[in-house]
Amino acid sequence: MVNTIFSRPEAHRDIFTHYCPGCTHGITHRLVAEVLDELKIRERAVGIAPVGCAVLAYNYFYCDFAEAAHGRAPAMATGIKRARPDLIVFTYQGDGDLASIGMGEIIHAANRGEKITVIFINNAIYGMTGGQMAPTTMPNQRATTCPFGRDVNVAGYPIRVAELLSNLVTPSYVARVTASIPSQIPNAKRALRKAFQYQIEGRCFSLVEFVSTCPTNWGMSPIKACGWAQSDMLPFYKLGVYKTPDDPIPDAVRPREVKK
Amino acid sequence: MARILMKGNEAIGEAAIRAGCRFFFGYPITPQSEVPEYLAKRFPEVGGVFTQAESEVAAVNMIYGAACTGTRVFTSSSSPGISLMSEGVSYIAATEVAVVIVNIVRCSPGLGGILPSQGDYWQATRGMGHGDFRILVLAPASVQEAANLIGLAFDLADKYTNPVMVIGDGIIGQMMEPVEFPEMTDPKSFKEKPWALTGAKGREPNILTSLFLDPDVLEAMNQRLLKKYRQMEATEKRWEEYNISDHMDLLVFAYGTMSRISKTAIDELKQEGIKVGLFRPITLYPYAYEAASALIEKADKLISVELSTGQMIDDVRLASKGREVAFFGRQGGIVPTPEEVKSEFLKLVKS
Amino acid sequence: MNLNEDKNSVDDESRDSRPDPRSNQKEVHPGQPLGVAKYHIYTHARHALGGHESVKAIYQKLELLGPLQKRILGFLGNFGSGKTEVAVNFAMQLGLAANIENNGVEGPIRIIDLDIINPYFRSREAAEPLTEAGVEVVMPTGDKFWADLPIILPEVKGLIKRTDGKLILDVGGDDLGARVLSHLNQDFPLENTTLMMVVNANRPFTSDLAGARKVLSELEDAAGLKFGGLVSNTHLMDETSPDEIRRGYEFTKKVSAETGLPVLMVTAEPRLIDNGTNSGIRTEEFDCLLLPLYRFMLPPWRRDSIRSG
Ligand SMILES: Cc1ncc(C[n+]2csc(CCOP(=O)(O)OP(=O)(O)O)c2C)c(N)n1
Ligand code: SF4
Repeated sequence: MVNTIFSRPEAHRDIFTHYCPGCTHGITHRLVAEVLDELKIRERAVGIAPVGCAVLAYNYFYCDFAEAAHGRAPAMATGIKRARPDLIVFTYQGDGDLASIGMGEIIHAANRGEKITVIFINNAIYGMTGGQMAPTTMPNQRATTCPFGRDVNVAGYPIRVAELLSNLVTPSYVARVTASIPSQIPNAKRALRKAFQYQIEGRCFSLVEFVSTCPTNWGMSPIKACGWAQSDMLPFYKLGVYKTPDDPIPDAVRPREVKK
Repeated sequence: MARILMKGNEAIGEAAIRAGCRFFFGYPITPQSEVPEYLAKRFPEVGGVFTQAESEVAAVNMIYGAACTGTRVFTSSSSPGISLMSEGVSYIAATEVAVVIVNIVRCSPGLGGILPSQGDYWQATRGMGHGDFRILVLAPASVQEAANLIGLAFDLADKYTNPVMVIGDGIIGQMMEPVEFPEMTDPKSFKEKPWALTGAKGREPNILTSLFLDPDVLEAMNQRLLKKYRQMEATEKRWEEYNISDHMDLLVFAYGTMSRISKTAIDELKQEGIKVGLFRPITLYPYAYEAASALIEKADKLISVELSTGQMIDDVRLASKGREVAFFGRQGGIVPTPEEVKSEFLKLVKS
Repeated sequence: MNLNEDKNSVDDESRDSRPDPRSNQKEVHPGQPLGVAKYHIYTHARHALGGHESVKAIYQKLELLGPLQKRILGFLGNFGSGKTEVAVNFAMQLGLAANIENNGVEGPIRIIDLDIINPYFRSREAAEPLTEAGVEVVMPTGDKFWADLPIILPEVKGLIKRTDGKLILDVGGDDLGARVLSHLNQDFPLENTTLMMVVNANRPFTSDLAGARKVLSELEDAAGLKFGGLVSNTHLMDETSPDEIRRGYEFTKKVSAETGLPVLMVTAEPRLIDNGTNSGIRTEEFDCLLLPLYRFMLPPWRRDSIRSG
């Protein structure tokens, strides 16, 4: 008798993806799909695709999906979640989508404590449009709109989304993980599970940042790209859990009991 | 200067430099990315400042700010990005400062696709943003014309202190043609702008705003703008006439890429003895209604051909004074072949 | 009348006719040659083979210089240098030649569209005439044919490692486009690969020697691979004259002298090549292959140029 010991998660459709070979988008998709399966939430999950390389994510996940305008996924997710709190709503966004054009939406969704889950792909570049500078691009890293390398005097330093959002007082779960180092993948999945778990419990906003690779636009082989993420990105984008809903609220803003 | 081969988008970048513009703010979007990418490489050679904005909303307000200092400035984007800019354009028009905006149009509403389209005609000529205002809209049909019109756009923006849009479809932005540029204009050669925000040294402070609380003042402001638009309508209409004769079987209305496809079809029909003329607006606003009307009288039939479901046809109808106007268009990024256009023309002539 | 009911029925009907964004997914398989693209959007390449016989006649004569006999032949260059046009024409020439016995060219001839930079004017747009000429076109299929996405097909690696036939690579423009090779550079059988830089002296960044050298080294750095030759592709579109071709060839020879890379091809539209009456250029003028270049990447209003010229 033959036992299947490895198969495709039900929440992942059985088709080829358009992602470049060796791109970590693929691994991340799989992890998300596995978690949807394991938590048995596929049938009440609604995903929101960004504008970015993952624009076609709805082709790969086997659950309901919408496609947002560039950067607006957290706002759309807010609308869906508020209209149907029983649904499990997640967005899947790149760094241009989330941290550039959509910075307003993400900060406010997190600050309102929307019970949604955000999967944030930080690959330090704009993939879809062909390698322009992202807010997360590393100093001196080349991109088409900074052909001489990111100049921190005109473009500033890279934005650390996990740190930034964890400074908000509103309770949330914020973690940074990576799928570009095999030994880190179980951690990444644990963080994703946690993020969805908090949403299922109706506790808080959750965001998992994936330090990812874009071998194509970085101009590296996939293996080299993973190496670069490790050597150049991880020292700055440190892995870890940045905030949990159990973190204390400062006394100065603790609301008073209001008698109804 | 020798002619060189350039893509429309690159030519737009170079033409802006030649026109003395040294400031660009924009956000990446296909199919116009070559404009910022060309400038990112070329600006350092001429002391220009290239800034990647965090969004189109920010980009349009950055050009708004730069324009308040009186300098030449521009941005470029494509349809979804232009939609995001529309709020800012309304403020710029109301504040009356000079900016140039390039729109390399992509297809369909929403995210649509990156293929060529002329679906933003209404947006550009009618509803660019809230409130009563107009922007000048220039539509090139070749790389050389794109370069020329960029130069003109900066001049007109300064002349009227008003936003000017140069609108093209993906083909105009992406195709290569030989092009020749004018000599470099020295950015220092422009006249001082007494209204600009340059620091109130030895003068009363300048205020640039679009807020007027008193209804009388606000109405006067609207009237002032109207007067300006009337002047644009009186002096800035531009168009091309092609194969016009006193007795035409058909008069075609087309701009940009569709005008070039139409010309190919018209040339072939000419050899078959069928007289088809072309009216190509170069300014989409102001539209040259009178010139169009004069030609309409010489034609048996009229048709508007567009890469949309029919937008410019509204203007053709205004010019035609109640005569019937046929329409042919393709959408979704599909560009018709000259044969397809020709057979539409033939069908109409024979009907 | 119940307005609500009426309204709903209209809505339902119109929604039913909305396309399913996911339709066709099962059949769409990256890289399976599509053969015929559904529409030709900007180019009307199918016309380029218009006068089949005359085209074939010119194309069949093949005397390839050593570096051109390698199995993998890649074309790189700066934006707008004409790489795609050269790659498509050369592949087509090989494709047609491979159909003839004892021509020294063995199939299968494949072309990979590796242009991840520019969604317009890519070699996939010439898929139909290429297929007709016996060339297998490796490109994204289904709706991804039109995608504004950097798609690298998974089978590319395998095709590079194969040993049969010939593989033509149409690489995207500039160092940005060349980056795609660095993704793959460890897989190249270097002894059996020739990468060529396509030079058009009428383009902004390669109009002088210093510029051409700079672009050359940027491309090599980005690709992580070295060039093996040059292609002289100087033209001014419709305004090209035979002298323009000669001038471009002289320029490329200068680049050659400085870099040590041989000029392997010079290209010219057929109308510029001597046919006994037009005082065009002649094969003897060049120490390399003269590639008749039919324009496939034409704007839509130019679809007839081949048939008439
Ligand atoms: C309003 C608007 N502006 C610009 C674009 C063009 N655009 C598409 S994707 C993208 C950035 C994608 O980068 P990122 O979010 O980092 O995702 P990645 O592709 O790297 O996964 C941009 C600028 C757009 N679609 N809409
Ligand atoms: S371009 Fe980059 S992010 Fe996009 S699929 Fe390719 S490798 Fe992944």
